[in-house]
Amino acid sequence: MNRQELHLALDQASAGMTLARDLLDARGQVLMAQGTELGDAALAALHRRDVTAVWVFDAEQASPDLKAQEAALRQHHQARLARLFRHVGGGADDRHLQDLMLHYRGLAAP
Amino acid sequence: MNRIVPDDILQRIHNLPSLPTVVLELLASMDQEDVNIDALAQKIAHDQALTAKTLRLANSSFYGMAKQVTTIQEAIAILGFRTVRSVVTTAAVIGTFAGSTHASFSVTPFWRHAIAAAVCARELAVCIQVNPEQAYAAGLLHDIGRLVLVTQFHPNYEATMAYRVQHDCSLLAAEHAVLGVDHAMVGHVLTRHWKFPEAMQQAVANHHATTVVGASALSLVVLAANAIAHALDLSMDEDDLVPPVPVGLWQQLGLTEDVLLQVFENTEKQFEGASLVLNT
Repeated sequence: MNRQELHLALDQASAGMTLARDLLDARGQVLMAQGTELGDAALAALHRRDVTAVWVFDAEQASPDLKAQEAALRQHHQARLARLFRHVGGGADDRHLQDLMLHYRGLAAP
Repeated sequence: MNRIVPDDILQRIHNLPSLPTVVLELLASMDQEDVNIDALAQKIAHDQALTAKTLRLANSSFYGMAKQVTTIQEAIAILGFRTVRSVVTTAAVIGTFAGSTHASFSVTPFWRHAIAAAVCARELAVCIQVNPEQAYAAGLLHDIGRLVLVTQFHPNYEATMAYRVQHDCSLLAAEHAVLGVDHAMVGHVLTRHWKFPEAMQQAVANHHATTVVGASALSLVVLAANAIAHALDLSMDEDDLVPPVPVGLWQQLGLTEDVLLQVFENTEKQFEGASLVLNT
């Protein structure tokens, strides 16, 4: 199923979006390939390189299959993280690591 | 009775095959400024098993080289001495314990976790100006005490694993309850016996420390890398467990959230290539 593409100003792009087209620099070299999922680090890198706009897939238009897959993956990560962190103490540093991992897996903001 | 007294540990360590001398020299050279690369390359080349393993890895798709390398000197010229040093030490350490298969111990999750911690420690080290190679080696070997316990105190270790499963507690807690010693302490004895650089001995000894007070930067890196590697779930151990970290760890390391998220990502990306060593 074809996914709708959106041309967004970089400021409107957010972590979790997926590049719909190769992102090229001024010389035509691929900076980031189509299919790359934009994380915070990738977005920061694009800002540093003065990229102003990107083509991303429209999440709203994602096929039901894909949405179901993503939901299943999120559920898997959520369950695994809960299991992996089942015995950490209540220390602030333990919580920090757990929050960062949740954020990293796209499950919650720190 | 499954208690282990410290004197027994040193005695049993003498039963272990020793690391090839050249590997000890490579480890020691990690904190030396001027290293005689040619002399070390020749010594590696004299160990045929180690050379074969190293070349197989260097020629694996991970390094994406245009042509096959056939000598250690060639591998060093193309990949750099530091990369080759890491590859050789990893291959040698894993090789030393290659026969340690026991019913209650799974070798693959053990080494997958060790390699994940090594890659993560190297990533963290780069961010805080710690020697990245030493961090890689210390990360790789942080749990080495477990291998001593598995191979040299097998009945005691089986009892420990049974206790762990029964109580679903951390390995460390099970070791304290059943053995009276733990794998961090045993690892310290082994790395001292093998004459590892002092900073690496400390990092192995302190990877479950409950305080950051007095810990070296390398120790903090390995402690954090261990917890992150468990949290990234790279070992393929269904019952894996993230260990508690001491209060103040993240502040002491001085790494922002963005930097840590980048470390997670880099660790996952590099892990698959680094773990190829397990298949050679």
